[in-house]
Amino acid sequence: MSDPMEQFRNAFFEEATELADGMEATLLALDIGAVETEDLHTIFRAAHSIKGNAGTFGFPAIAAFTHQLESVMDPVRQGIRPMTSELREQLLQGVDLIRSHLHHARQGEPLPSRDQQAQDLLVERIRGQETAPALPPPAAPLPPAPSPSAATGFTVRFEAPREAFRRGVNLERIFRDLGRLGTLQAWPDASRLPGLDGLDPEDCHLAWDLRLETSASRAEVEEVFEFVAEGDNLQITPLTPAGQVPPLGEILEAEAGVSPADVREALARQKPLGELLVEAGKVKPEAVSRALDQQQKKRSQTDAATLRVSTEKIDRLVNLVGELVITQAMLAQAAQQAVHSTGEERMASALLQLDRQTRELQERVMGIRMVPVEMVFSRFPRMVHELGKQLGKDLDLTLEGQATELDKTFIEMLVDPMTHLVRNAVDHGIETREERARTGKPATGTIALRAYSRGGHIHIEVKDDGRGLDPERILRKAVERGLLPAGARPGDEELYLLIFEPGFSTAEQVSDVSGRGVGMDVVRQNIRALGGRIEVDSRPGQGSTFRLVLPLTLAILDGLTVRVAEETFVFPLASVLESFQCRPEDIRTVKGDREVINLRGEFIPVIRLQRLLDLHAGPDQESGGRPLLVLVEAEGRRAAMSVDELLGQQQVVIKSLETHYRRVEGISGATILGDGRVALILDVPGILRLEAGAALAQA
Amino acid sequence: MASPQASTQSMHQVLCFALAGEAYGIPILKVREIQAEAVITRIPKAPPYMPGVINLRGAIVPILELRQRFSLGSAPEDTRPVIVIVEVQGRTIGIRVDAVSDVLDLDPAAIKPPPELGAQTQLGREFIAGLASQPGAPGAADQGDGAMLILLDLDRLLSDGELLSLDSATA
Repeated sequence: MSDPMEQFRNAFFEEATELADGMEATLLALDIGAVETEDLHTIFRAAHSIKGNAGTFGFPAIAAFTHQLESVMDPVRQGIRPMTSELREQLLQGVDLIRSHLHHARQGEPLPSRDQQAQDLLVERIRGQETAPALPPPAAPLPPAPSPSAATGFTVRFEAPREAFRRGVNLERIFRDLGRLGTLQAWPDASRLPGLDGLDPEDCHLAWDLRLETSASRAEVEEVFEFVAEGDNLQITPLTPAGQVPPLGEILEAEAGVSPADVREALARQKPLGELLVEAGKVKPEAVSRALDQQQKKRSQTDAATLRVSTEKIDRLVNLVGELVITQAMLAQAAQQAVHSTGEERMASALLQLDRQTRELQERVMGIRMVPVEMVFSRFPRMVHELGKQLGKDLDLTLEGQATELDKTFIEMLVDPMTHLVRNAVDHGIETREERARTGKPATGTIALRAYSRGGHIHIEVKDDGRGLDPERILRKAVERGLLPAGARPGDEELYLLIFEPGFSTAEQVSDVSGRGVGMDVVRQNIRALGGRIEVDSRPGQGSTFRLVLPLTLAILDGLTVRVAEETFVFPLASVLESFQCRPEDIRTVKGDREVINLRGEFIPVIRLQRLLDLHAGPDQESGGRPLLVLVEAEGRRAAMSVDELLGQQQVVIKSLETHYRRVEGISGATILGDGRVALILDVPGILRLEAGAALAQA
Repeated sequence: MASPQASTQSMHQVLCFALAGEAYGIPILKVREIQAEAVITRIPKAPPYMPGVINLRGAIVPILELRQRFSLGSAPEDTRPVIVIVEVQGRTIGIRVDAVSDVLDLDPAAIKPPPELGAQTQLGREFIAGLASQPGAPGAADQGDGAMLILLDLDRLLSDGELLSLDSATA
């Protein structure tokens, strides 16, 4: 497969897929009421690039089809035909067909006949539109705008090239040509003129700010400057389109003849928001600079150049760094004793530095695995759009915190659960148009996806402003399904979590979209597999929020190390509520051998880890006969696990036991301690299940 | 030495180790390294012949107690066991033996199929790839009954009935 053509083709597929994705995203973001010309250009360019590349690499079918899309976009981007929501649907369908083309071309197969038919139909419809002019006939330019501030046209900043005179460029011609396109206002800007002593009369230092009201396209205006535009000496900005309020400066330019240079200068004198707030004493300077940093970071994230690297390479790097951290810890431990005896200062400080550097290196390497959550979010605009159409609901999707970073593995595993949650929100959460009207809600329902990091966890929310969960109905259903004993009435929050039980669905109608009672339990399973949990907030009539709380990464865990018998174990800190000592008599036996402890009025089962895990008895001084208990919680259940010693709290690198061995019940993995020994990481839910199984076996 | 191919030749290069006074051999190509005694972390409820795991430069590697596997009792106090790290079917496993003695070139012709040992033997016949007489090897098999080397079939040893069930637990 080292055929060079093969490589080029692969590059083509990747690029074309990206272009199609971009085209789709732009289409979905279009506000049909106020279309940005730039967006139309983007869509056109995407189609154009795919067409060109497809032709080059020998995919005439793709080229021919994208040509159709391109030609329907051309009059639209030139403002001759309007962008309609109908056209958007057609173009979206076009994007799907491009994807299908790419997919099948990659496999070396022809387009399936179903898609071929769909394509023929689409092309026919697009063609039909093309011939029926939708806007005022293209021959007649737009009627002159009634008020200058609502005119179409451009503002142009043009700085003549320094050697314009020497090259014999006729600058005057430019203004004449522009004048022919529409109404031209020009403000010369002599501010670039140097002092007399530095002046070379053959250099051109002139610049102009122009305001051109015209129906001509940007390309036509650009053409006028064809021979003098170089680098960034020409900036063409469209005037604010009709129907939108133009900025003050633009009105002043048009009405009062204020020169754009003056407007720019005045704008430059405006103080940045942060500075003003600091002066008013509303915020501390540090907070502003932090916010600016963050903004900068987000900006650079979006335009940073990227590099494709195989995950395998990164994983190897992550492993290696993990080992380095361990070796570093071992070295530090060994050296500590040496330092104590010899008092070698330099060694101690070098080790300290090594410690810092390894930690930073680890952080950075882990960072490579992190990708913005946008990679999951980006699929939802299309999905919500389709679902809304299908279900006849007007929907608005807002995305927030797309730049929040998550481990790559998570991204892949989040797609399914998120899809379920969003579908549910659209289908069950958001009410029908009539119902919303009746309850006085805005006709358009809102789904909000939000991601943020908090306290070492990533939170991802799916929020809707729909009807909310009905605790009473859930209760009825739960009792009906035998999930709750009759007469029980847990708190609302606990009730909400019942919807994640297998086979639970309160939807009155089973719809095409959701409501078959599968899905929500899968959601919980997937999230659990990632070491996360789900929280539900809901207010009847106001909507629900499903919150996925995930660890930052799969590879590192905040742990509490303990000793049980002779062995060291690690509790994931996320499942530890507290640890405490009690008197032996505080632990009572129930039914002979099951032990419980009364903790602030709540009876909590006690699990003897040593017995449960069949460990050889170790140095059996249970801290002077006072049992040491670690209170844990998993899957809504609590238990107190008895340990022999608390060793400390530390971050550990998770290693799989399964690579060379196998899965062990009650153990989620292993890690390597500072002294090089292996410690096992306890799987708290697994231990609870193990205990339940053991109790069952005894009963 | 009837002009064997290079690969055949190397297949018969074996690492010899001692276990309860007997001499065993495994193909050298499967051996990754030899480790001095490491701290074994016990795995809860693991079978006695696979008591736990060690840290092999960052990898978590399980240990096979060969004495336990062959029901040979525990090693006397004065032995200092060694761990032979082998790679079998993509997995890395440490085999704990009493002592490592030598690397030998074996004449393929000197390797005999294992005899019928009867059902009463703890070391099932299926783990034995063959028996070989040692060409005057020093060190091993000084316990009297001659220069006999038991060649182990590692693939079978590590994937026999019980270990296989460990495998299926992973699935």
